[in-house]
Amino acid sequence: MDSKALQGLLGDKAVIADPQELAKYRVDGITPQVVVMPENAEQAAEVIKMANRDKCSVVPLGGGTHAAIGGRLKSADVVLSTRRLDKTIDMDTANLTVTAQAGVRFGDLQDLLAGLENRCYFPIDSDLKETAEYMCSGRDYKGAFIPLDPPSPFDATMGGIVAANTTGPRRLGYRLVRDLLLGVRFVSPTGEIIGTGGKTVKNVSGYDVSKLIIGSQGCLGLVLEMTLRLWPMPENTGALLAAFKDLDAAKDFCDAVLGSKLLPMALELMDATALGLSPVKELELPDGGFAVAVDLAGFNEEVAREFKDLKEMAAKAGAAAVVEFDAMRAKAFWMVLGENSITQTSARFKASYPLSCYGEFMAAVAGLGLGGKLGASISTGNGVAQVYLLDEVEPREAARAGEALRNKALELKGSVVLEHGSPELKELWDPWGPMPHDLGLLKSVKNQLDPAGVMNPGRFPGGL
Amino acid sequence: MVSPELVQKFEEIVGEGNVLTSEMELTLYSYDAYLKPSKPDLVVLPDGTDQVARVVKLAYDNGLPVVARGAATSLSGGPVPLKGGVVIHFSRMNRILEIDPQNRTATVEPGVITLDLQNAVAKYGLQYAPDPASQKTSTLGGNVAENSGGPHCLKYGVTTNHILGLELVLYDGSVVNLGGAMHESPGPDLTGLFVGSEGTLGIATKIIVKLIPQPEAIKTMLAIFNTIEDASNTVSAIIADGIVPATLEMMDSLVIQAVEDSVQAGYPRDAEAVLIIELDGLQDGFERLTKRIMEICHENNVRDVKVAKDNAERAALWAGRKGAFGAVSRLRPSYMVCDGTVPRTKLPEVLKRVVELGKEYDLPIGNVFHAGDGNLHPLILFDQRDPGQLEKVEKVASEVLKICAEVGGTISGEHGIGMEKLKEMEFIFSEDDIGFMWKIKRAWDPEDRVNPGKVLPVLTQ
Repeated sequence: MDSKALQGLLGDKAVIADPQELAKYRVDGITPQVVVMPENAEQAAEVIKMANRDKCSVVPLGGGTHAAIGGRLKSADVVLSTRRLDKTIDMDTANLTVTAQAGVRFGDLQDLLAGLENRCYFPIDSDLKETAEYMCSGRDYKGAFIPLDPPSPFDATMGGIVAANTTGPRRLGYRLVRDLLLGVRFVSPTGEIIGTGGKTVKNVSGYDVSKLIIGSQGCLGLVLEMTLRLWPMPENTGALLAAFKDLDAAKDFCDAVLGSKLLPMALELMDATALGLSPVKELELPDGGFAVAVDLAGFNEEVAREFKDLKEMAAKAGAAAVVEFDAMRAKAFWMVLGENSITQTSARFKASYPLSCYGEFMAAVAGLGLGGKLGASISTGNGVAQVYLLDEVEPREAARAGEALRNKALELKGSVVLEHGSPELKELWDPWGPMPHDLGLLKSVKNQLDPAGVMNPGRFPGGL
Repeated sequence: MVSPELVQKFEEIVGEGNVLTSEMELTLYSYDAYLKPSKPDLVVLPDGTDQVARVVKLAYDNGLPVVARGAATSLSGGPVPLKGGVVIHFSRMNRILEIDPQNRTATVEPGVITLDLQNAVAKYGLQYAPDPASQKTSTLGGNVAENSGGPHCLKYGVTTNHILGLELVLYDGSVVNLGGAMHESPGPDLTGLFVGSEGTLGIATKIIVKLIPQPEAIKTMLAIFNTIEDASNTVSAIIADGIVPATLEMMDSLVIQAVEDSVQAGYPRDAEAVLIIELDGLQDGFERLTKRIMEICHENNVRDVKVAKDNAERAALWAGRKGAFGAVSRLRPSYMVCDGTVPRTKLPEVLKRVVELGKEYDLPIGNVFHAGDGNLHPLILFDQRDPGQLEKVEKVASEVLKICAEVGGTISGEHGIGMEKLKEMEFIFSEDDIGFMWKIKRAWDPEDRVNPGKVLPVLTQ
């Protein structure tokens, strides 16, 4: 694509065409011809229109934590960075909604929300109009948050989280993007600015287009801006970690928790390698043992009761060791675990299967015999496993591991997809595999919306 | 008109007696709970995916549109066969195929009644959370098509948040699967796109739903107010206190009166507003939260606040709310229910403007609303037999939606666009937005054979 024309459109500083600089934006082994950083929706739309005219491919880029997700790109002519779409548009604490642009970092937004006086609201008068002076509730803590748990929150951008559909261990008590996204604005693959949804919690006006954008990995449009639901900050939080001598004991504990009325935010079963990605040093894991991390949040009485019950359950399941974390240490634990799962791994797989099969899946992971090079962290209440290959694993070995995991998942009526991996791995092994969704329908949707195949060609299932 | 030969071909698929063609039968399948009927050419009652697929294929080959129909409790004309054709009614496909308590899923046919599923899974200590007020008659297939809401959606989300997988018959009779028994499926969320598409993208023949554990404890409270503003301020104050109840439901005086006339839920007739507040979760802390909510009610001049002592009392408090739509029909033979949704804090302002509209047009308007999530249901009461009334009511309803759109809200929270709100789509969507939706429609149904004439207005360009 003509970088002069792009400079004319966006300004010199918003266009990178210097080969040395461009090399830093390699994606799936391809160096783009140009990197652009539009500062508003209209500019972004214009870039995509130009790409349609010039038959160029466009690769959206947020924080880069999931830049190597999905199938291998067939081409990457223009990398479109959302870096300058970084404005927080509306934080409406009384309605518990937030609207932000795609390039806003998740962690920054959470910090802003945590400091908000969301205890306050404008009462209405007898004329049903909001009065000028606000009232504040009696609660002695403030703040709201987005109940999502993406790894590497200070790198991950809001747009990237929606496009890659990311969350983490706290998916059990928190929500998924699909449960929180109330509205989204995006540029369609043909360059129109499309808006859907808004600030209302319920909305069935027209098709639920936002669902199509979640997890679309940049193949069906460029996310510009979104509105998400918020939760009020919980009164109390904490976490409990327990070590077990083997998988059976750890599973007994998880099953006891799942069968109880407790409402933990996470119930994460981890092998030694996955635990090694966390900052925990004080939990002695027996050889061949497993750890379970339980995250708690709620009112003081709830959290106290949960700690008490969990300790009893852990003891009953024969826990070798138990560690309790207060709010600060719990936060640090999840943060570092997520961060390291991104920075210290060469490949990441996400497995899904019916949720009662988690023990069988973990046993299969352990049976791969990759020892300290492979780690699994399983969200037991969700039927989801994150499997990490540490840095030193060769692509061929990674492909074999991926295939073995996939075969196991398929046997359980589930799936394994690649969330991060090298181009070499993607050549050796299909990052998607058999999909639960009908491929013909997906193809038909992609062809209708992106007839020129401009957006992230090759990344979608089936090489679309 | 469909030829006797073609009728016979449909009969060969679904069996004799399962194709309805008499004038009376066609009339019975011509309407839902919205106000404008349109008759099908014939109605078929298939049993099983294979029969549905063959029926759709036969209709396709003969140029007839197809429209799926559950219990037709829908409020915007979703299952009304606007362009005639074949109505596929799911009364025979009403089996719960599997309840899998270990994996917390259930697989059902589309004709299963929502409450039947809820009762069936309750035995396992589980719940299917979405609870549309019509759950006693509405079907899961209809809930999926409309993405139905309900009082408990404040905490648990609407239907779409509980649908994991679907088996669909597409426009030409082909059968596809989306999602599955996994709680998180990889790739783009086609399941989520289908839910709420009002039967215009295909026909669901199997539905896999997510089940969640029943809460340990439930506390239901009824707060009675002398003014709407006190009730509204109570809602704001509860949420500002960091409490997100499972439900926050409000009813105004006209609805209170109608409810008392019909089910005697124990609401005082001279109250201006009642609020049903329900908490659920762990029982620890409930005592403090309940006390705190009562305090908040008192700070906002509540007249009286009761806590249901047992399940029977809880059921009685809810009976009024769930029966509200039925109850108002005592006041006038017809009603139009609007379904605007606004950011919650805008509710009082919108409510006031709705009341003014009613006065201006001389139409009684009752209000039932999901106060916690800003979804209001003004019920405009009238008599359809009076000439000119329907036109007037439609005008008022459209103005209500305009007000909702103006304050940053939307024209449907849970009842859908159907045929009712096609022209109001432009209040909230640009031509490009609607054009994008048309592309989605064409990807699924290139020849516009499945429930044509709904959801998407025809663009002039």
